[in-house]
Amino acid sequence: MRMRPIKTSSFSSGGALLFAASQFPPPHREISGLFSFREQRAAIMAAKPEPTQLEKEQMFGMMEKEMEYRVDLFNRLTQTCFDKCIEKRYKEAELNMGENSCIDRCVSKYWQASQMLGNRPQM
Amino acid sequence: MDKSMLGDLDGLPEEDKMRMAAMVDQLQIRDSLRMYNSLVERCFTDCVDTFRRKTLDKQEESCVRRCAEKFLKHSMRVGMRFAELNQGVATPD
Repeated sequence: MRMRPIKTSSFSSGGALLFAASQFPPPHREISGLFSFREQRAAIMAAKPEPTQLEKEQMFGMMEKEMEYRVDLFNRLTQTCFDKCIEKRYKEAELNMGENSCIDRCVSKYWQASQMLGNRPQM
Repeated sequence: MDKSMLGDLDGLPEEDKMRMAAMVDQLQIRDSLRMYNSLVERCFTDCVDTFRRKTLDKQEESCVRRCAEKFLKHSMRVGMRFAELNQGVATPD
Protein backbone atom coordinates (compact mmCIF):
# COMPACT_ATOMS: atom_id res chain seq x y z
CA MET A 1 0.00 0.00 0.00
CA ARG A 2 1.62 3.25 -1.03
CA MET A 3 1.08 6.57 0.66
CA ARG A 4 0.54 9.69 -1.34
CA PRO A 5 3.33 12.18 -0.76
CA ILE A 6 2.49 14.88 1.74
CA LYS A 7 1.78 18.13 -0.02
CA THR A 8 3.46 20.68 2.17
CA SER A 9 6.15 22.90 0.87
CA SER A 10 8.11 23.32 4.05
CA PHE A 11 9.51 19.85 4.02
CA SER A 12 12.40 20.31 1.70
CA SER A 13 13.43 23.66 3.06
CA GLY A 14 15.08 22.43 6.26
CA GLY A 15 13.54 25.22 8.28
CA ALA A 16 16.11 25.13 11.02
CA LEU A 17 18.88 26.16 8.71
CA LEU A 18 17.07 29.23 7.52
CA PHE A 19 17.05 30.57 11.03
CA ALA A 20 20.52 29.46 11.91
CA ALA A 21 21.92 31.15 8.86
CA SER A 22 19.96 34.32 9.32
CA GLN A 23 20.88 34.98 12.89
CA PHE A 24 24.14 36.87 12.88
CA PRO A 25 25.04 38.21 15.44
CA PRO A 26 24.19 35.39 17.85
CA PRO A 27 21.38 36.14 20.29
CA HIS A 28 23.03 34.66 23.35
CA ARG A 29 25.84 37.00 24.05
CA GLU A 30 27.34 35.01 26.90
CA ILE A 31 27.20 31.57 25.40
CA SER A 32 28.48 33.04 22.23
CA GLY A 33 31.62 33.77 24.18
CA LEU A 34 32.28 30.16 23.34
CA PHE A 35 31.84 30.67 19.65
CA SER A 36 32.33 34.40 19.34
CA PHE A 37 33.18 34.15 15.72
CA ARG A 38 31.99 37.64 15.14
CA GLU A 39 34.41 39.10 17.64
CA GLN A 40 37.12 36.86 16.33
CA ARG A 41 36.44 37.86 12.80
CA ALA A 42 36.45 41.56 13.73
CA ALA A 43 39.73 41.14 15.55
CA ILE A 44 41.23 39.24 12.68
CA MET A 45 40.09 41.80 10.14
CA ALA A 46 41.29 44.68 12.28
CA ALA A 47 44.67 43.20 13.11
CA LYS A 48 45.92 42.58 9.59
CA PRO A 49 44.79 43.55 6.15
CA GLU A 50 44.63 39.94 5.08
CA PRO A 51 43.88 37.11 7.51
CA THR A 52 46.20 34.15 7.30
CA GLN A 53 44.96 30.82 6.05
CA LEU A 54 45.03 29.43 9.57
CA GLU A 55 42.95 32.27 10.91
CA LYS A 56 40.47 31.85 8.12
CA GLU A 57 40.15 28.19 8.90
CA GLN A 58 39.53 29.01 12.53
CA MET A 59 36.91 31.50 11.53
CA PHE A 60 35.10 29.00 9.35
CA GLY A 61 35.32 26.44 12.09
CA MET A 62 33.74 28.85 14.55
CA MET A 63 30.97 29.79 12.19
CA GLU A 64 30.21 26.19 11.48
CA LYS A 65 30.00 25.36 15.17
CA GLU A 66 27.80 28.36 15.73
CA MET A 67 25.44 27.24 13.02
CA GLU A 68 25.27 23.73 14.30
CA TYR A 69 24.43 25.05 17.73
CA ARG A 70 21.58 27.11 16.32
CA VAL A 71 20.22 24.23 14.31
CA ASP A 72 20.36 21.95 17.32
CA LEU A 73 18.58 24.55 19.44
CA PHE A 74 15.83 24.85 16.87
CA ASN A 75 15.39 21.10 16.51
CA ARG A 76 15.14 20.55 20.23
CA LEU A 77 12.75 23.44 20.58
CA THR A 78 10.53 22.03 17.85
CA GLN A 79 10.42 18.56 19.34
CA THR A 80 9.88 19.73 22.89
CA CYS A 81 7.04 22.07 22.06
CA PHE A 82 5.40 19.44 19.88
CA ASP A 83 5.45 16.98 22.76
CA LYS A 84 4.10 19.55 25.16
CA CYS A 85 1.39 21.09 23.02
CA ILE A 86 0.03 18.56 20.56
CA GLU A 87 -2.23 15.69 21.52
CA LYS A 88 -1.04 12.37 20.28
CA ARG A 89 -4.45 11.26 19.01
CA TYR A 90 -4.13 13.28 15.78
CA LYS A 91 -7.82 13.79 15.22
CA GLU A 92 -7.15 16.14 12.34
CA ALA A 93 -4.32 17.45 10.19
CA GLU A 94 -4.78 21.13 11.10
CA LEU A 95 -3.54 22.91 14.19
CA ASN A 96 -6.41 24.30 16.22
CA MET A 97 -6.39 27.66 17.99
CA GLY A 98 -5.42 26.21 21.34
CA GLU A 99 -2.47 24.42 19.86
CA ASN A 100 -1.40 27.54 18.02
CA SER A 101 -1.29 29.66 21.15
CA CYS A 102 0.37 26.87 23.06
CA ILE A 103 3.08 26.68 20.43
CA ASP A 104 3.65 30.43 20.48
CA ARG A 105 3.95 30.53 24.23
CA CYS A 106 6.08 27.41 24.40
CA VAL A 107 8.55 28.83 21.92
CA SER A 108 8.70 32.09 23.82
CA LYS A 109 9.29 30.39 27.17
CA TYR A 110 11.86 28.02 25.76
CA TRP A 111 13.65 30.96 24.24
CA GLN A 112 13.62 32.85 27.51
CA ALA A 113 14.93 29.82 29.38
CA SER A 114 17.67 29.38 26.86
CA GLN A 115 18.75 33.00 27.16
CA MET A 116 18.70 32.80 30.93
CA LEU A 117 20.91 29.73 30.92
CA GLY A 118 23.12 31.21 28.26
CA ASN A 119 24.44 33.69 30.78
CA ARG A 120 27.32 32.32 32.71
CA PRO A 121 25.83 30.72 35.82
CA GLN A 122 26.61 32.62 38.97
CA MET A 123 28.86 30.48 41.11
CA MET B 1 17.71 28.69 0.61
CA ASP B 2 18.29 32.38 0.46
CA LYS B 3 21.97 33.15 0.26
CA SER B 4 21.33 36.83 0.85
CA MET B 5 21.05 35.92 4.50
CA LEU B 6 24.79 35.68 4.49
CA GLY B 7 24.97 39.42 3.95
CA ASP B 8 26.82 39.83 7.19
CA LEU B 9 29.79 38.28 5.47
CA ASP B 10 30.01 40.91 2.79
CA GLY B 11 33.56 41.75 3.71
CA LEU B 12 34.77 38.33 2.71
CA PRO B 13 36.12 37.50 -0.69
CA GLU B 14 33.89 35.69 -3.13
CA GLU B 15 35.38 32.27 -2.62
CA ASP B 16 34.86 32.46 1.11
CA LYS B 17 31.27 33.46 0.63
CA MET B 18 30.76 30.53 -1.66
CA ARG B 19 32.35 28.29 0.90
CA MET B 20 29.96 29.53 3.57
CA ALA B 21 27.05 29.03 1.23
CA ALA B 22 28.18 25.48 0.52
CA MET B 23 28.45 24.82 4.24
CA VAL B 24 24.95 26.09 4.81
CA ASP B 25 23.66 23.89 1.99
CA GLN B 26 25.27 20.84 3.49
CA LEU B 27 23.89 21.53 6.92
CA GLN B 28 20.50 22.07 5.37
CA ILE B 29 20.51 18.70 3.64
CA ARG B 30 21.64 16.96 6.77
CA ASP B 31 19.02 18.72 8.82
CA SER B 32 16.24 17.82 6.36
CA LEU B 33 17.20 14.16 6.37
CA ARG B 34 17.33 14.05 10.13
CA MET B 35 13.99 15.75 10.43
CA TYR B 36 12.50 13.26 8.00
CA ASN B 37 13.73 10.30 10.00
CA SER B 38 12.56 11.66 13.30
CA LEU B 39 9.18 12.50 11.78
CA VAL B 40 8.70 8.94 10.56
CA GLU B 41 9.75 7.52 13.90
CA ARG B 42 7.49 9.81 15.84
CA CYS B 43 4.40 9.19 13.73
CA PHE B 44 4.97 5.47 13.67
CA THR B 45 5.40 5.33 17.43
CA ASP B 46 2.29 7.37 18.05
CA CYS B 47 0.00 5.71 15.53
CA VAL B 48 0.92 2.06 15.20
CA ASP B 49 0.44 -0.27 18.13
CA THR B 50 -0.72 -3.60 16.82
CA PHE B 51 0.96 -6.06 14.54
CA ARG B 52 -1.76 -8.48 13.52
CA ARG B 53 -1.17 -7.69 9.86
CA LYS B 54 1.85 -6.63 7.94
CA THR B 55 0.22 -3.65 6.22
CA LEU B 56 -1.08 -0.45 7.79
CA ASP B 57 -4.86 -0.39 8.14
CA LYS B 58 -6.94 2.62 7.14
CA GLN B 59 -6.93 4.11 10.60
CA GLU B 60 -3.21 3.84 11.01
CA GLU B 61 -2.64 5.27 7.58
CA SER B 62 -4.73 8.38 8.17
CA CYS B 63 -3.27 8.78 11.64
CA VAL B 64 0.24 8.75 10.22
CA ARG B 65 -0.71 11.18 7.50
CA ARG B 66 -2.34 13.59 9.96
CA CYS B 67 0.59 13.31 12.31
CA ALA B 68 3.06 14.23 9.58
CA GLU B 69 1.02 17.17 8.38
CA LYS B 70 0.54 18.41 11.87
CA PHE B 71 4.20 18.16 12.68
CA LEU B 72 5.21 20.01 9.56
CA LYS B 73 2.72 22.80 10.21
CA HIS B 74 3.91 22.96 13.78
CA SER B 75 7.49 23.14 12.62
CA MET B 76 6.67 26.03 10.30
CA ARG B 77 4.96 27.95 13.05
CA VAL B 78 7.81 27.36 15.46
CA GLY B 79 10.15 28.60 12.80
CA MET B 80 8.19 31.80 12.39
CA ARG B 81 8.14 32.52 16.11
CA PHE B 82 11.78 31.60 16.50
CA ALA B 83 12.75 34.06 13.79
CA GLU B 84 10.65 36.78 15.43
CA LEU B 85 12.30 36.22 18.78
CA ASN B 86 15.72 36.25 17.21
CA GLN B 87 15.00 39.63 15.71
CA GLY B 88 13.62 40.95 18.98
CA VAL B 89 10.10 41.57 17.65
CA ALA B 90 7.56 42.20 20.40
CA THR B 91 5.02 39.38 20.45
CA PRO B 92 1.52 39.29 21.97
CA ASP B 93 0.87 37.35 25.15
